[in-house]
Amino acid sequence: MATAFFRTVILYLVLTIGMRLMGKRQIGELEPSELVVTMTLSDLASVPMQNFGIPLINGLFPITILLSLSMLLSFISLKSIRFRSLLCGRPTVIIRDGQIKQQAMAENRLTIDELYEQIRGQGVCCLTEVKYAVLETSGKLSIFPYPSDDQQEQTLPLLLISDGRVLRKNLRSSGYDEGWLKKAIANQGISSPSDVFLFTVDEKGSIHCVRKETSL
Amino acid sequence: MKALFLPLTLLLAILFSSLVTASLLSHKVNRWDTALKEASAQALLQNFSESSAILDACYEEWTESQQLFHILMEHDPLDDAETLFAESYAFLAQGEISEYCLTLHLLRVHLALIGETQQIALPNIL
Repeated sequence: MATAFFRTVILYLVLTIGMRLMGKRQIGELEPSELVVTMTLSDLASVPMQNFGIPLINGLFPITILLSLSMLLSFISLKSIRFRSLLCGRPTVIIRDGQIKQQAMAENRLTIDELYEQIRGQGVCCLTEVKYAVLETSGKLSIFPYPSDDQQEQTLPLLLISDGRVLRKNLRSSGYDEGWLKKAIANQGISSPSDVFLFTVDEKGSIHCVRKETSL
Repeated sequence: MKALFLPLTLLLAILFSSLVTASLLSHKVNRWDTALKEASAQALLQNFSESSAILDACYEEWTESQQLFHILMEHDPLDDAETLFAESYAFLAQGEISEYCLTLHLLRVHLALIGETQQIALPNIL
């Protein structure tokens, strides 16, 4: 039993890290840690089902351990942005303003054929029609085409405050500073960034701010 | 913090029960090992009734533990130990002392291996 406990913990962590290292393309719809749980649960459940010489607890304990670890990691991910990005990665902009980011494609091991495949899959036939393409942490490519003449132009919002925490890297890359941010949230009637649940700014400078609920 | 309670409780409960199981099994196996060694020594001294009584006590405790062991462990090694107990009784009944002592020795080794599988040790985990 103790062996099963430690083995399950080790295998879960190794599989999660392995899936994370394999990159987003391999994952599809699920987050790396979710995929690990899905992959292992089915096997764990089927072995004691088929082999009556193995006690049921050999399947039940690892399943409970996996689900508990998964819940723990989800909770830590919810509280820590750094841990979340370590566990799930970050979305990557592959096309910005119609420009393909070749470095980002190479980092995510995304070939031009796969990029085309994903774009066609979303009903867009030509790369020149794509204004933004973002490779999500689930491995799915989100496509934002250029607006037609009667549509309002869209820009990609950048997250500056998440659950009360200022994302300084995003703040720097957006070209703003903390002084501007404090002023912007003060204009929304909020005194401190810790009271902000969500704060985004897009390339045109449009702000979207959501105040944190006090009960959370 | 409420979200942490359930997974942490489950993990700690499983870890705790694993440690308790390892400790309990180690304790039982050590006791059986000593008893079976004594049964073998008594048989070599021709005290067959004493040896039989020790083996009986040992087998009774083994039988009582069967339900727990079948929940916790793979069934094949438990069935093998059961066979070795039966062989020991058969050799004792026929007065084949050398075979009896050999089987008791095999049984001790087998029980030690069963106990070892549940211990928290690096070789087991790896």
